[in-house]
Amino acid sequence: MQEHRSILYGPINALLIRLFGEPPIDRLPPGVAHFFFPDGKEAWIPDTAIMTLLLVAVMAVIFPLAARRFDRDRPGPVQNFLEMVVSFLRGLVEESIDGHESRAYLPLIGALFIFIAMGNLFGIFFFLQPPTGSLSTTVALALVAFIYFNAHGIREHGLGGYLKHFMGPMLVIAPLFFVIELIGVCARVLSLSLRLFMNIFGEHTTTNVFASLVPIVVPWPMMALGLFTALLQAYVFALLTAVYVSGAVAHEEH
Amino acid sequence: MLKKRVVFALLALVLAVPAFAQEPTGATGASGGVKWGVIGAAVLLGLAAAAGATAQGRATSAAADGMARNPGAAKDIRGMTLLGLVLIESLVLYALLICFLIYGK
Repeated sequence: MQEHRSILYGPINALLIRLFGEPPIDRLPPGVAHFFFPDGKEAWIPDTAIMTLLLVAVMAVIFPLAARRFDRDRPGPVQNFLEMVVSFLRGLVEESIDGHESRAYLPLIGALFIFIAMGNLFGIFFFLQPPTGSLSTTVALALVAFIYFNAHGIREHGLGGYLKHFMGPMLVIAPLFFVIELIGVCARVLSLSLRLFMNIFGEHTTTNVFASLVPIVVPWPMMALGLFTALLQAYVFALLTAVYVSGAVAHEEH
Repeated sequence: MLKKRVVFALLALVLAVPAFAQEPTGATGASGGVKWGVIGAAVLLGLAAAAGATAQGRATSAAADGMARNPGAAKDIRGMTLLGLVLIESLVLYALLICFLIYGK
């Protein structure tokens, strides 16, 4: 399976090498050198990071421009579309999280959805790579979600109260239950990140294989499936984060 | 007619047994042993895909039943169905990940 690079990978790294010379791999310990410069001497910034930065740049351009043209009485098409997206996300958050403060969780969950959806949609274009097609991005997103729901659980119940949720219904089986619950919560990071990564990486790789065999018509069903999967995986990531937040914040009435 | 098909299928299976006897010499790689890793990866992925497809088929059929009985609840059923399908699919994808790891070693 050969690597495909985005169209920005070559030029940006050539520019950086011309400005700063080659990456200083020889002067760093091998583990650190591989962590910061995974492509070795040929690249300062790996392809995934370039695509993530591009995504952030695109979002930083589109959304303020759309906000500048915000008109309450005569919304334009962009505003209509964005309002549709926001109301969809608000419905998602409010149906998953009970309570009157569920709107407070909308910013991060909405941001996760939009980032992942737009990042996955990068995979449709031939000159871009999806940033979520790399384990780095998806594990980072899953860690953000993990820290988010744990922090809200601790904020809501206090550290002791939050840990008491792990103890289970009866005190007798508390040690065993605690271990099982802890493993379950840590497995959420793995499952969130691996699900997103394998879906996007698998679709992208399969599309590349089809395109290398028959470039014209045969990749289209896989690309349509990739389009559907892009939005669906973003929706599932955001939904699961909302469900985990609701589980962490829930006040059970006995 | 059914009996004829069953007999034919059994005959095909029986006649395929000599092909299995060739397997050790056919599947040896350059290192000279049977490539258990590749065989294991293939069997794993086949089983995972079969189990995943069965589970997703049952989930989709139950969802279609529910939506047919109660069209007003279609939106809620659709949301839960998509979530369920994605969770089942993620298990199949974990198996695919292991296959990548085996294959890439």
